[in-house]
Amino acid sequence: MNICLLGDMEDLAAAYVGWLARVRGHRVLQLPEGTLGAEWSYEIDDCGEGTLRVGDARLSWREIDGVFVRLNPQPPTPEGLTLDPARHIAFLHERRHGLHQLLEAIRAPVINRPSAGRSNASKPAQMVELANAGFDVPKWIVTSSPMRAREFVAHCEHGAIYKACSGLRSRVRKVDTSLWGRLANGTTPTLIQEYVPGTDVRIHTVADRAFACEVAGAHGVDYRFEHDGAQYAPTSVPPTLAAACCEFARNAGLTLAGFDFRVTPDRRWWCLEMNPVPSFLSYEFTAGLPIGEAVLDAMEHGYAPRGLDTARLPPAAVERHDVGRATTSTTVTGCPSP
Amino acid sequence: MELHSKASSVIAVVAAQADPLAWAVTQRLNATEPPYLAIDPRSLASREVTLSDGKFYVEGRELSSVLWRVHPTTGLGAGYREEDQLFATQETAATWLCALRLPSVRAINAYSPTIWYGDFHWAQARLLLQADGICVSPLRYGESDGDDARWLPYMTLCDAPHPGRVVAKTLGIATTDAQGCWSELVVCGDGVRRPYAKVVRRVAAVLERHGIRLARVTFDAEDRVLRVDTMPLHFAPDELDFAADRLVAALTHLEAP
Repeated sequence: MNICLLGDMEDLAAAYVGWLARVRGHRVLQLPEGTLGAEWSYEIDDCGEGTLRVGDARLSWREIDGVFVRLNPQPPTPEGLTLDPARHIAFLHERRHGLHQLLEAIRAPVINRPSAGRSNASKPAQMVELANAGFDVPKWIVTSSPMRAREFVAHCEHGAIYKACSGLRSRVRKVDTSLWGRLANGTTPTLIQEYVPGTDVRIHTVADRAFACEVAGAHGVDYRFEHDGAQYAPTSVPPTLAAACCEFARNAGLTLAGFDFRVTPDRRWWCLEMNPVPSFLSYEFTAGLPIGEAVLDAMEHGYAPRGLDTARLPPAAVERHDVGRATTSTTVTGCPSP
Repeated sequence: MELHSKASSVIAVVAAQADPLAWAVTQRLNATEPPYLAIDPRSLASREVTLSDGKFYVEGRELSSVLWRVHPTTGLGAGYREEDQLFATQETAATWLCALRLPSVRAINAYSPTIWYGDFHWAQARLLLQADGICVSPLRYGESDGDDARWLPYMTLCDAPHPGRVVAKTLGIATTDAQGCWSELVVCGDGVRRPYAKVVRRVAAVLERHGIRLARVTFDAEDRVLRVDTMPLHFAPDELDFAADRLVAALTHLEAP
């Protein structure tokens, strides 16, 4: 099999998937964004037909069996190319959009396509989607009004947390004097959500499989930033919930996704958000969950989620990648028990 | 809570002052109820807003409709410190983007996250049409020779001469042999000049399903879609009148079902 890594070769998840692929005996082709046009190039049409050139190798896109994508927010320009700031930005935008089109046109599994899971960049929009899909989402408000914020927090039995509305990485904090000060001084809308006491569980979905990891022992409300004492362990997840996660990711066009849950002592699973570009290594290495292997399995089985992908596949590609079976009969793989 | 339940609903027109369509719409809204708010996008981050329980409030008044004439690259954080403006823009856009798609808000356009975070670029809308079975002009991406094909830069709506092989392979450009033959402004499901053309109605219906009720669609000689402009800025006089009338009817809930 020919597996491509596209984007940022320094990304640890990409490097890991590449290593696993080599262990399986697959050929791995590295396609760094910064060397497009120099070390590699491509041509492709709307039907996914065309050629990939990497060094001296020349392959039809039909020979590519999967692409793992990690794009850096600040990609490099080609070596030796000097541009003024305006042209530099235009260059990066054009090249990035060109790569997006390539990734949409490729018929093999792409993990993940750029158009998939975009609602993560608007947390309130994503929470509406999650609630509409049947997930329990803690009550929330987005406001820049101090009065509305205080009204909301007053009705939260266990207090409230706040975080960014957009996809910008931000630390989740308990509502504090800093927030009240910012609201009083006039600030942008802030997402305030009822605090749910309980245990953090990250569920990664890969195609029709779900892998759950419990994070216990962390101090504070955001274990990503306050991970002293955090212990990662595989955990079980209700099959219906695992199926719902896989279904949500599939409908969003995602093969790989990461769902954050807070589980209360009475075993109620509250969904906090879904990440379309999850960093899964810390969960894989500490809890022993074979997420990377599942990524390769998805490529080997020609998995394609719903959305733009399946609708655009011509009959030949459907037959080749067995898309219909993969998308119409979801078999949820149970998670390893602790 | 009480404050908002007593407040009247409001229409918002979020657009630059120079926007001709927004101007035409506000001229018509001046004679209608409920009242409207004209908001300069650049200062949007400074507006007090609340998004709660499926409703959106702007300065204490529930938003019923919005004409959203904002480009994803527009800075929304005027008044904030320069180092905070990107954050203010991102946070504000994320909030309004959710509001645009609430069932309680009639938004034109109700951009999906896919369209918005794809910077409106025409290729994204083209993908959506393609996925819904609309015929689109064939494109090629990436390395190509400087033959007769035209270059369609992703960030603009104008085609250009082929830039040559080196640029083509370094940027992964889109090229096509097709040429724009005619274009149609679609407003709330109808074309302005070819309202009964089957292809126009089909395209308009697909765009509407994705929240796009105002767009300019360029077709090639075989009536395939070459390009979609999801925020048209320039209008002929007849287009402007048609669009403004239809938009006001939609914003004030007067349009026929």
